[in-house]
Amino acid sequence: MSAKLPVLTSKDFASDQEIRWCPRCGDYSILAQMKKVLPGMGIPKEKFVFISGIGCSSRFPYYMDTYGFHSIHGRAPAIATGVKTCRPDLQVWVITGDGDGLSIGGNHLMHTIRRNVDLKIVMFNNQIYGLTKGQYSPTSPLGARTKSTPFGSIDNPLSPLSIAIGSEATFVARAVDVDIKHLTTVLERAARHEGTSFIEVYQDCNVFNSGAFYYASKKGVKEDNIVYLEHGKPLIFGAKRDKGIRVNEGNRPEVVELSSGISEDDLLFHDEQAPGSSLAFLLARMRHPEFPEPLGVFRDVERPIYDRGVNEQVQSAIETQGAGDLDELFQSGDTWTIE
Amino acid sequence: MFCPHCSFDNIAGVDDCESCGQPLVEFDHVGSDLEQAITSQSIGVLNPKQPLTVQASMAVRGAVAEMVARKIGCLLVEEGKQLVGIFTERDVLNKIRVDKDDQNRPVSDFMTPSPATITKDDSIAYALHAMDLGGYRHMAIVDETGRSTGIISVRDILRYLYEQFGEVSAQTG
Repeated sequence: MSAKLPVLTSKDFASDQEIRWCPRCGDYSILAQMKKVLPGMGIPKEKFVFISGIGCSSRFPYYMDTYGFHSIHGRAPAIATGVKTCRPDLQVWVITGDGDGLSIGGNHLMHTIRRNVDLKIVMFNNQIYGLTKGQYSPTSPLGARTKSTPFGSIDNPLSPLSIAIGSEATFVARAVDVDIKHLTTVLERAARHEGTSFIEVYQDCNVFNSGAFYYASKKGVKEDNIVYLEHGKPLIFGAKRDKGIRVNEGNRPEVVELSSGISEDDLLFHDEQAPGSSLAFLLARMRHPEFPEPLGVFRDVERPIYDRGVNEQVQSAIETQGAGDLDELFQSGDTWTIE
Repeated sequence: MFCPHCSFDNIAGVDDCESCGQPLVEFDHVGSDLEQAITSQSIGVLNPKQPLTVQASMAVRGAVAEMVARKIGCLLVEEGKQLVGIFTERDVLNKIRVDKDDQNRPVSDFMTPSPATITKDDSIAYALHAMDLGGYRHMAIVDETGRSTGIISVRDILRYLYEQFGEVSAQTG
């Protein structure tokens, strides 16, 4: 006899907690899309876990009717690694922000990604510390005037995707909070990837950094400022789809007009499964306004997964040496009594 | 309210977004009425005035005469149709030397170049934050192309807050 799973809907994932984000915050859209994606995973509700650090985005677990942990600043990847390693049957999501993930938590993020723990990491990037009312973050652009940089930031900003790719991420993607169909697709792809998925979501903080991503989100403007990545297809963009990205003889990307004797075959074709990370890195370095910024899946490759490796080692050790006894281990070796 | 899914500006209180059909009920917010108002309402509710603009090459004498004649404290400075600066009564008081020939120099010599701007869709809260951050009394409103479409002053914000306090008091009895 086979047990039938209940059919879940997005409402099944809505908690009874009052949402304390500012009205019109981009976080709402990300939450809504997440609730739409999870029912389609074919996983019982009690098998989802959301773990976050500190910041506006990190209130996310309260608003999902799943298991969750609003944890320690920057340490969500470490805690999630423990959860996933102990309970490989769970689908574990990490919710973080540009401050939480790249400042205090940068070290944890980097090592989680390079280990390829089977976690789905979503970084809400709003280029500001919103919860503490408007200080600059590791992704704030040069010159940004904030409460903590009254004369403009002189810190070179980090690119979250460059960090992820440099840490050998096996799944890297970018989406925009209000581009809901695309965000849903990216979340689904991340959820199905085996290993660490890293998604950067451009998220508008409408109180402390309003409009930071208008160029990539406003209809009538974004068409010339973003390029959607599709595996195996050329990079074409523009309101009239008359522009493309070509790699020139110096191995540098350049914007070209398709009407000027350049055909689609001359353009850069996206390969998210390229064995090396050079193409993904090249795409991650394309920044507005010099280039349209790529959205979609930059990289999706396979590599051994940390939590599986750990559990295989444990299983192998048990088979060869027995299950072991923690108390016996604790009492073994050099022990002494302090009197 | 603005739909968090597609940004469409819906009539307050509707259950589903008129544009994309996504449910909005779950996005009822907590917080004080004033917090609600300043974070959910856009600059547009202030009915921003049309800005008075001058060309960057205009002599200061003419610019000041315009300000006096129209009883305003701020001009937006353009090159062609593009906003390049803001010229305020502070600039007149702090930068122009009455004993020199400054009055015949172009307004671009005394304006604040590349001023911070907002769009009509930005929230009141963001405008407040930006004005506090920069110590501004006026902010230019621009469209997607960077052209000025309006201007708000700290007076507009004060008037708005006064009206909000009135509404809050009425609601709380």
